[in-house]
Amino acid sequence: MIKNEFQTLTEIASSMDLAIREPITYPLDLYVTISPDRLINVIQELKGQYNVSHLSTIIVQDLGEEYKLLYPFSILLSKGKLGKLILDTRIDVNNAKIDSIVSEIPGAIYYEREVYDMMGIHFKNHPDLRRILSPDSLPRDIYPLKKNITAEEIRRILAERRREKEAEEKLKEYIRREQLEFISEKSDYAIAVGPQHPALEEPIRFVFQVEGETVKDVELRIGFNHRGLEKAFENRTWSKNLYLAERICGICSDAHQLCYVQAVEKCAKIADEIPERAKYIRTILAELERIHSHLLWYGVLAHNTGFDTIFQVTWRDREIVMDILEEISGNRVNYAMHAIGGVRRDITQEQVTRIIPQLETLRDRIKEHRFMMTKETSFVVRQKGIAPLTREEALSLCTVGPNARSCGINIDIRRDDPYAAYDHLSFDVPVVTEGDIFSGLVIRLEESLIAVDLAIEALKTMPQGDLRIKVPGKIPPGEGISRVEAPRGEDIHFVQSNGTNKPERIKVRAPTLANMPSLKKRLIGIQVADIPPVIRVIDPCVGCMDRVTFIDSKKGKILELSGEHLISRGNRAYRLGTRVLDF
Amino acid sequence: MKISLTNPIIKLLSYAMIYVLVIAGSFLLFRNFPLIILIFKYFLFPGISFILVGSLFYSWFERKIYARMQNRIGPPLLQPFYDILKLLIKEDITPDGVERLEFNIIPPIQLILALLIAFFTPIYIAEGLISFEGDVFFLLFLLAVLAGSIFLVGWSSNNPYGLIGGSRAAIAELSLEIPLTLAFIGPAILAGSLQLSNIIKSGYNLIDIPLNVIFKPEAYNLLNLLYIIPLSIQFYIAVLSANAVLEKVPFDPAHAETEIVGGWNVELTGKKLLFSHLANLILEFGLAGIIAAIFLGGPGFWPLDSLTKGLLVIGSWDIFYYFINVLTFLLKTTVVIFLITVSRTVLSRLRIDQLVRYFWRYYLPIIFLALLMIIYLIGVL
Repeated sequence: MIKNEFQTLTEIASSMDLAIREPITYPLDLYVTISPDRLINVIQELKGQYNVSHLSTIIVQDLGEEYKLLYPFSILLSKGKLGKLILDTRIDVNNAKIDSIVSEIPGAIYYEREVYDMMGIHFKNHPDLRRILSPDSLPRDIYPLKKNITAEEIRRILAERRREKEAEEKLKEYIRREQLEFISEKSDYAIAVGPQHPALEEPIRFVFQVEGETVKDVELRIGFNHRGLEKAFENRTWSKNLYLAERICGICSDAHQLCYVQAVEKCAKIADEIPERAKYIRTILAELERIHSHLLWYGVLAHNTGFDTIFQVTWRDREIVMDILEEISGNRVNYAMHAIGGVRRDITQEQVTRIIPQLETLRDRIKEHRFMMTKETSFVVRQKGIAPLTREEALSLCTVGPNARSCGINIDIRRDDPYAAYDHLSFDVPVVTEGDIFSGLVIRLEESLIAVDLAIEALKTMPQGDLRIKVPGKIPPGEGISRVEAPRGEDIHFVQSNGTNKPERIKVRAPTLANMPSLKKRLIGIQVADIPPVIRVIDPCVGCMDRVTFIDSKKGKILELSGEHLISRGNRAYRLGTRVLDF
Repeated sequence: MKISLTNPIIKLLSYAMIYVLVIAGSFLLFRNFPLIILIFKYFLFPGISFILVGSLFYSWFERKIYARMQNRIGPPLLQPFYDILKLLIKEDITPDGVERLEFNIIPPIQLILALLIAFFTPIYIAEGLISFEGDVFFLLFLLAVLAGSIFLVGWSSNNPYGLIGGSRAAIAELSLEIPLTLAFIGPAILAGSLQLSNIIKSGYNLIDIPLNVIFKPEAYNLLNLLYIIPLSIQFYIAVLSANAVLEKVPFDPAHAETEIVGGWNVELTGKKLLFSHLANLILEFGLAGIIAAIFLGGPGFWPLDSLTKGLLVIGSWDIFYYFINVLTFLLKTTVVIFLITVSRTVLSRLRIDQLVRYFWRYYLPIIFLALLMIIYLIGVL
């Protein structure tokens, strides 16, 4: 991203003549109120004059009379800090329509679909406004995140639909039609990858239109893992939500919990009072998690290209960091380390003396991996020059994390929007410009090494002090937005409190959803053999991305898939033949 | 004297009788009925039973060293056998929409073809079970037929994955055939014959050339060692081609589990999968044995042949000689399997276009150069 000449967000807002919403608690989070008619103009101005192109997500909230829509834009200020300019716009419930911003920000395509799916807001001129996450069996007039429907009612409706006999008939007809559609396309044949496929760890579905060995078009389906977490957040207390937040994802559980905790702290206006030691422990956990996630990533990348030896070796060495995490937190996956106002557990001096040598061993091992993976020709020829993404495309599609840094975008939330103890620590941010799979690999290898160094530095320089401050069970009214650099990129949480012990609204946007538009772009034109590594390059974490019951939403077909349907569907999904099969 | 089986003398006598009946009697039988010897040869040793046990053993061996090189423990010795038992009891499904005839008939044909290839492998003497002038070419022809059968299985399964896998297997076969043929041609030129047994007996291979130079200095001078250079190049390329024939990393795009879910055999289940799987194991054994025969000298060490001959002869069978030969054959095959597994371990899977490029752009010119080197050396020496 290109720096602005402005020092603070307030200057930008006043130069653009935007109404700032008082009071300003945190200088890097600035809320400005605009009318929905001005939205497109403001975004055009932001794009043209202030080099803004990154939209983190679209947050929508049901306020009863009106809908609140928040558009958090990232602005790189002159000091190198990344500010969040949050456009706050309200639209009436009875006329829930707003201009689509996809023409200006192509990366917003899935965000708008998600808002449409969850709240029923119609985006004018959206190229592909369909439901994205919710199940087909959900009636069309029900939007799950509206306040007029409870989670119990949604569950009851879904259970009723499941019992209906005709649903099965509809399913058969639906599958037949879906299959016909794939076959009658212009391409030679269609390959379905997913929801179950050896190259995928989690359910997601791609249908590739293939000519010879070249992919001509791809249809992407997400939402198979939607668990309704955002609705579930609203029914639990602030402290119970801690554990829900870390169960958003297995790999980046710490990042989600940290992000949630920070957002709540910002909401309660205690973010500046967190003890230093707690901040360091948060940093250590985040970096350890980054190491294990990256090791997992490049191990699976090697497996996807048939290099099983590297897969075995990296997963063996990943056990070192998993053991460290287990020693610190007692768990291998969900660490439960963070609490609102600090951390729950200390890292003792004995633990530090045990952990540092282990991390140094791990550093040597990662250097070995780097040597093996970047020097082995048969592996490198599978990565270099495959599915490149240019810097401009990456910027316009709002990519985040290692995916963006491999395309030459110098952005890292740890450095640009510091949280925890990152502003006390020194570290490099590796950036390469090729944008292919190999550059993604290089970025992850370098980042793993840097993460080891960061964790060691944080362990050595950790100050003494309290672990947490006391926070009342009721959070005062307000809103907080926080982001962390999860292993896969920018993870953003938004919380809104109404003064009770339960949140009014929590919005989670995991990095994988932000990277999905760029993945679709990358997949077109590649060879069939490159499909698994290209899918892997964004490090898809479907658990984070989907967050809801089983869904199937294609062109508004309302269907429910039970266990048997799932099996029959899975069987047929991978058997999309070159000719029509009779049922 | 009361006859009782517990009496040690009676026991000894009865054991001796059984021994005489079984061993000597069978020799008597074999001498008078040569057909039984043939049946013994084809079904027990070195025929189907030996080939099956050998291929299961080498399958285990390969998996074991593959696992050890990857820091894993690896399967127990009988694991390949259990795999086969498991496949035997699995339900045999012919899915709707496949071409029923081809789909059901080709996996057994693959097994037969693989066995036929393994019959050419010289195991206890320089001649295999089948041996005739030009059998090297016939072997290559059988390999091509096998590749064709793989393509047909992929095509008849009527599945995009199977289709892609089948066409990739056909493309791979088209690429590897010429380098593999030329790799076999080099020793054949040196031997002056296209018969496997003549190639072995000629003594121009990587192990026998140094032995010849040491033990028969009157016939072979030191310059003969120069043949080792082109022959090792051809050996290397033959092993890589074997990797491609057997669909092992790095040349396994036809099989790629993570891309096309097993490729051409994605729809095979139960016994059909068993036939196909067994055919692959037998092919691995046979091909490794043939490469060992051509480049490492096959059973025994030919220059030292006279040392082991005639030490323990029963009937027309030179037992000790055969034993040493089988042992050396197994050792040499182990070397080839080891090389195949090493390249499988340390390399990554190539795309089909990269496979074609490697074979046509790199291996073919290299092997031509090696062949020219051999011809030049023959002219000079």
